[in-house]
Amino acid sequence: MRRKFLAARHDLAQRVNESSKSSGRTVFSIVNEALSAFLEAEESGRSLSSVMDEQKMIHSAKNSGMILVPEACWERLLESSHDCQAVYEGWRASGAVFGRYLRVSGLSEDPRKVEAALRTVAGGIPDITIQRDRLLFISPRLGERQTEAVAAFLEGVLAGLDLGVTGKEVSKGIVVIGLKR
Amino acid sequence: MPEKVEKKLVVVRSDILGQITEIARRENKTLFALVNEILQNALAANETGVTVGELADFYRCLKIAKDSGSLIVPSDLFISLMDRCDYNDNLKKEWYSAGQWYGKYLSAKFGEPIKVLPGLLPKILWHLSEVLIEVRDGTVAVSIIGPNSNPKLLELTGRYIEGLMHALGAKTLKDETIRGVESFVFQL
Repeated sequence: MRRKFLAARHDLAQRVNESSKSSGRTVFSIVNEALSAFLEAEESGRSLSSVMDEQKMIHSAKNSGMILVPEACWERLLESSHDCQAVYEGWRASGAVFGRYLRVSGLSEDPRKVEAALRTVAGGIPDITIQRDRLLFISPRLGERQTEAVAAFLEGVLAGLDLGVTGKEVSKGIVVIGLKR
Repeated sequence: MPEKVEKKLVVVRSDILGQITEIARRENKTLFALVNEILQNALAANETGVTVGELADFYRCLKIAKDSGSLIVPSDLFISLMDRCDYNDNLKKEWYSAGQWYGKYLSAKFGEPIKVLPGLLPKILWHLSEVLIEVRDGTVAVSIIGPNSNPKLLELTGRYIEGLMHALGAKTLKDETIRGVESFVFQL
């Protein structure tokens, strides 16, 4: 394997050196790993820092009691449930925990990060925008019941973030929630 | 006059350096600035207790799971819906076929899907305490361990694993369940 020299800021190279000593790895492997991870993120159209943020969000979801399940099985369970209100309540409660978790992990300061967090956990590859006075969620592939469930989850998240809700409009695939700051 | 930045040389793989140089040129940045940015991010990740390699791995696994139709849902709600619905063979069949679909997806995406399983499954089945996978002499041993997991959810996960392995052309040789642990041996 051919090797080459590369210049880096002295303080950063020093920290890499310390990290190599504490982890028992070579500086060569740590630097290559960092550069490769960057290349991989670039290839998928992401930045390394957004991948790091996403990992934090998934941890928040995991730590606030969420699990990853096959979508088809989830939909079947939702369809078989006759008590829609209980389902929506469950989503609202889960959203509140997730929102609170985002808050305590410092991810709620930047609305873009909250949008990214919601995009990560909400189903249906949604388009989510948080503006000053409203939250807009669009995911055309969601059915009516699933949209209602997402609306309840979003309401819960906003409550967890201590944001007031002034109103809510829900139609298939679209949720608009008015915000009071 | 700008402050002079102290530099230090580090050794890297030349093929990786070539690609990084190309990106720096494309983004109109100096190679020095881009490398510093990358190292800074890597060190920031390290401070949270993970390496960037693990991060990239995690991201890749999650992307595969989400692209193949997995959803993040509240576990309490999932379990209460599962308890309220008629917990029957249909639900198990659903999980089995979801696993089969995932197996087909992995086959289409990876040349040797069995090889990616040890890195992939523990990351997506995070409701379990441990997922152990050992590939040896034409067999694959999979153990899913969740002493604190809901027993029904553990059973459904087992069906998912079976569906996945069957879609990869494996046959079940052994399937044993002892409280909180389900162990399989598959013949490839």
